[in-house]
Amino acid sequence: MTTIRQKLGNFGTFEVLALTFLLLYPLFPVLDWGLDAVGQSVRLDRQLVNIFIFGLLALALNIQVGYAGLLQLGIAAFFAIGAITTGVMTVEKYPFQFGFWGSLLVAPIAAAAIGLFLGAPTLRLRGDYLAIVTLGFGEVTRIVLINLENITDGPRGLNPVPEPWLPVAVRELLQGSGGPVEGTLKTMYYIALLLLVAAVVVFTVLEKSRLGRAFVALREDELAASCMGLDPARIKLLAFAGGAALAGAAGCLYATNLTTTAEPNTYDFNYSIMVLCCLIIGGIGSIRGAILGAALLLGFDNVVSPLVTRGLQAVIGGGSDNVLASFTNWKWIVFGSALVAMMRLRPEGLWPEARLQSELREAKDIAEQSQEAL
Amino acid sequence: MTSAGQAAAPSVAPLLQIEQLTLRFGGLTAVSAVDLQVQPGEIAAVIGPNGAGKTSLFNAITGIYEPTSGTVRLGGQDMVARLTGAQLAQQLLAGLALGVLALLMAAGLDGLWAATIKQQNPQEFSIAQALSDGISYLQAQPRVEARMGRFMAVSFDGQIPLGSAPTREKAQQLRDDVARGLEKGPPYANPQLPQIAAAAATARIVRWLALVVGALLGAAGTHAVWRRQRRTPTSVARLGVARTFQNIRLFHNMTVLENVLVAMDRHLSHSLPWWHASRRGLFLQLSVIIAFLVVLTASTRAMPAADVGVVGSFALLGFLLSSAALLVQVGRRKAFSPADLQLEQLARSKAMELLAFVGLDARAGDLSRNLPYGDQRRLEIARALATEPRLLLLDEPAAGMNPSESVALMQLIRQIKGRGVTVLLIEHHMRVVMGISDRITVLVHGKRIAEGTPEEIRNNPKVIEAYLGTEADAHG
Repeated sequence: MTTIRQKLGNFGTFEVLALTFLLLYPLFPVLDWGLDAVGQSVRLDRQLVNIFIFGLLALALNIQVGYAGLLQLGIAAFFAIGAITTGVMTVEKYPFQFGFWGSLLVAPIAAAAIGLFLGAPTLRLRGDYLAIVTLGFGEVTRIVLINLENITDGPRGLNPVPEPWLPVAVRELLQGSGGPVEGTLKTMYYIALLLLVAAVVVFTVLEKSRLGRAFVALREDELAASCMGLDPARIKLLAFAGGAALAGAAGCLYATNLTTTAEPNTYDFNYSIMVLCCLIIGGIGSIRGAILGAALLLGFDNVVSPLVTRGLQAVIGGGSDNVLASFTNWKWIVFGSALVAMMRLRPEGLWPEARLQSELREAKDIAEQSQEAL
Repeated sequence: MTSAGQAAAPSVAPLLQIEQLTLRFGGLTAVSAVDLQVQPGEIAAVIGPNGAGKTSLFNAITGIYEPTSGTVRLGGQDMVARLTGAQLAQQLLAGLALGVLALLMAAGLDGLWAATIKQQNPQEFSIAQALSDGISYLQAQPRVEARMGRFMAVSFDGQIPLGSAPTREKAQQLRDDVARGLEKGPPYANPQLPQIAAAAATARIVRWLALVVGALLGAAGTHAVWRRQRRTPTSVARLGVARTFQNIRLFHNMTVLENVLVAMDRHLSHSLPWWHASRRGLFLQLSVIIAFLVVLTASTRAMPAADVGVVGSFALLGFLLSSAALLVQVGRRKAFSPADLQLEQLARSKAMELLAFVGLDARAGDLSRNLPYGDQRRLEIARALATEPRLLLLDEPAAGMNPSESVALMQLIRQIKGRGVTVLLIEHHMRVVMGISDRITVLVHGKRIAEGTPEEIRNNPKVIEAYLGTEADAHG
């Protein structure tokens, strides 16, 4: 037992169980069987792919917001750049035709390069100012992508983005008895899952490495950290570029999974805020929290709310025109109330990282002390 | 070095030499024309009533404030980073990038793409053709476009058709004829030609201007930012000046050990060459992974489907296995490579040694905010020492300490001197200052009023006046 523990290194039993479950899920979709039994078909594995991709995006934002403390409100821009680079690099009408694997290399590089270009002059800005710059950058990127019609095909998006190349034997194995659609789904499922696992492993180690220590020191006291020889500009730029690169990789997966780069308007300000909400719900700075947040948010949006809608329609009756019977119309209220409740009851998030929790508590203690003093 | 005539003068060059340092904030002069010298290996002190500008002086030395005038030299050298070749190259590259960006914005990236990449059949794409198309587009030349299966000579902005032909060669011929037609007159002369030529000439000028102005502004801007960053707390710390703070600035939610490890960071990473053993392994593994991806991409692009199977499968397998190997190796450690881990362990043992030196080794695992006040001050000293400074600045190290703690502190400062670190301290506790200092400088209202050994300072009438006052102005 101890040897297994040692071999797992930084990871616990929970992580291993969760990974095993997710690896086996497409083969034994137990939850889907249960839902099928009560007459509801959701295809949870299809939703899981989206959750993995969104989880990667949340982890990307977590580097910038959680680790480096940079309030970034334009993560969707880097996601879009990753998706559209993938489109340009793969579709038949352009000569590149790198395929998924090539663009998995190119998309993060493109996103990181643009991240560096944005970050180098703006990272000296603090807090709110950086938030405004990144917010603006997100909107500008979206509009530029729509207007570069010759490159991005504007609102139509580039398509079809081909699925990842796999050896025929592997492809047939994944396909099993299902059709090619099933094969594509399983391919994307496993690629997204493996990338997510890789990201989790890297970030877990990063937090414990000296770079992780530098991030914490910079968040705690930037002046003291720089007087100890740390270079705040360089470390922040690294976080910014790293986050952009990972968001680019997530964009590459997104476009491949969707088989199109989608309309650039998809990657709007709301999208960035949704990713930020994943972090807030799960716990800023926490790897597990970011993924939990992504799962909760997308799970609520794509699984729970359709199920509830169907249930409501069965009970109340009436079609989709019945406002009361369509839960999807209510989701923003639920979502907003959940955020308010979170801020009131558990501001550090559902699955916070220990150190950030204590940073927040310290701030709260100071606030309470000063109130008592008054 | 100095002349033998000055018997009392120190015979070695000063470690810290401050000349005529002035620090002005708007109308307030915090430090005014102060001279200060600290000899290597000595303990120097700066004293003075509250608001005398002592901490401002420290902030000016450590790069937090930019001096209004005057110089600060460490070991005979100006503490300003020099322009290295790499930085110059970086600035020129940033200039070039901005120039190209401005050119693309002036010429239209969308139009450039349409005139180059989209002109050719993706199956028979030629990079040379795309390049020549791109250059003629950027030069605002009339060009040939593929439109609806024919080739059409169009004006530089693609707005005005000049004629069409079934093949590219014929269309190019036509375009050249039309271009020459400007001089030749009829039958080639299109009534709009002079207008087009004028617009093209303007476009050329605008594009050149964008490129040149963009590049100049980019390079100058990057250079200006670099100039402003030449003397930052970071660069000063890396030159070997460490400090503590009057109001303790520890990293409160880090453990005692981690606080010290952060300060060792520059010895762990930044000072190492990029090809250092701690990174070499990682770089190699990453390049293997990327190489597999490149082979995979190249094989799926260039080969018939049957051949892709073999090469592609191997490349994909190689990619997956090498990534998995890297992940497993990384996941089991607290660092990214074995050599990195070794460095980390070395740093830990050094950090523990420093903690033992200040007497905090038993509390290495505690959060620093849980330490008692006196211990926090000692931890700040340990953290500063971890940067391996030549000069240590202590800002009121004995503040808030009881008498026995300050005796221990004096002992500690002497031991620091024994380690070969020069110490410059600000202190109000006269017992501490007089007990350990080799030289004392007295600041009052930002001006230096006296300098000398503790004995000389104690008997200096100006100092006594400043501290005790002759009138009702003293608050020492």
